[in-house]
Amino acid sequence: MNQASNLLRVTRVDLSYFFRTKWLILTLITLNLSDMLVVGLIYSNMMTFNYFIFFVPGVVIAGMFAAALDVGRRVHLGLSEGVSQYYLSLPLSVNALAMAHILSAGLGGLLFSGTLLLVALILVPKLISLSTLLMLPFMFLVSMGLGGIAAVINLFSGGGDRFWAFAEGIQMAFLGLSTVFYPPSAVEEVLPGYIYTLVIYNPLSQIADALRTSLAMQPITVLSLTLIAITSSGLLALGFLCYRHVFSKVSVQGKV
Amino acid sequence: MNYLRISTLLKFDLRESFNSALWIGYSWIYFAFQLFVYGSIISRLIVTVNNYFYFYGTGLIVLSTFNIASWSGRRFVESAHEGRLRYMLSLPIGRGEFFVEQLLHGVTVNLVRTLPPVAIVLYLSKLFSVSSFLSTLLVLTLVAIGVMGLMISLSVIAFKSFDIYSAIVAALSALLIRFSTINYPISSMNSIYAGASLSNPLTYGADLLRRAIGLDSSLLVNQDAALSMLLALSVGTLFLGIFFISRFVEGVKSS
Repeated sequence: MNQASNLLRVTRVDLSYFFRTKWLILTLITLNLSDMLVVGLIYSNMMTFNYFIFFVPGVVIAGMFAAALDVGRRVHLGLSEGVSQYYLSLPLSVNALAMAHILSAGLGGLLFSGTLLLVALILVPKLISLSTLLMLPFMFLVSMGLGGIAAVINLFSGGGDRFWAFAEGIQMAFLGLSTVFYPPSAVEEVLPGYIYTLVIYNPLSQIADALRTSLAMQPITVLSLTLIAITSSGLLALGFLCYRHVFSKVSVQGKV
Repeated sequence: MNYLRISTLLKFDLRESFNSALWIGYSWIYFAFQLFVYGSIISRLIVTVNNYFYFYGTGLIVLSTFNIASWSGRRFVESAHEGRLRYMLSLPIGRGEFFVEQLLHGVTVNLVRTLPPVAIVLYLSKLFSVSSFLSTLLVLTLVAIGVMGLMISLSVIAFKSFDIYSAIVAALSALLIRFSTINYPISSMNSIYAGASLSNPLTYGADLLRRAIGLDSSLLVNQDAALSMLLALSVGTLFLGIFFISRFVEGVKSS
């Protein structure tokens, strides 16, 4: 019980750092809103289909990804500034600390993308549906999975400046190799078959396409929800193990 | 202007900047990925621009230049934050010379990092010639000087609050990039966006670069206006930067 309440306390503190970083929040909001209202509208004028309504759910998911991945930045700073070492001195197990960060990533992603989703509902009223509401718990799950990616970056970048290069590279690869910004048919035309398969199984593609089903007035299938749950849980488990490894090392050696 | 002092400090700074091969390699990989994955896929969907792939590629080069120039400005602010600037100012070098050194450093880093992307776009578009190559580098240098001057001038804000500086630079960068012709021609924008884009120097930088490379000029802004705007930006921010550095930089510490 004590572990659980301490876990929640650390989650709350970690999450508050995300919303306290004013420049980051302003950057993310400006980026995402200008993407929706400028890039989406202009590209629509250049394509044969209404790219704007396709793009807006994509921006919601891209925002969710950025917000969830920010947990990696906080852990990176925490490790270099001694915050993680302090957490480990509290009555909190390594497992609970790892879970607190993953949970914080999930909540950060959900809260930030939830705000973007509200804007999206105003811009694209067709998105208002039961399917969209059903997506919220899955967005939380995917955000936790994406927090797991941040853990992988923390583990393999080994700290220092390399962390930022790794984080940006991973973000570029995950977004570029997904259907967040373009339809699957366009991806299939350009990329080889095996990469196309990766694109389809990318959790970002799955959640973006699921969010778009309400635009086509189609119900979300159980299969697509199961796939989202499986791939996100896989990333979450991987992230948990990575954070566990990082924090175990810190608790023994005092550093990564 | 003492060129020996400038070159000594420049060599020191460049050694530090090129110390990390990871960042340089990363910027090339980023360019290649964006061009060959995002650019290839999105150009399949665009129907109003012939060869959007190359239009996008040149925009990406300007974007790289903008990012590197912004990084140079940010580096200046971070050096104040870390106390390195105080040491630099204690060296026997004039404030104007110091500013010129910072600019030359940024321009050199920019040229090294954008050379392979420029070569790739020129080679793929079969528009490579000595004149197109040199004029491309000249345009990129002008863009880099203009953006760096702007970012270093904005560093005055950082001496009050680093957070506010970061927020302003991030928001300004996002808006400057989106309200420009880096990714789309002005003919695709509605009148409000086109108006905003026409008051943005990046629009002129991107379209002038496309002319320098030799891409279809029917969708681009007027060449003379673009050149005048870019020169005005470079010269204007150059003097603004020198003014701010000589007036406000003494004894500062970024908070």
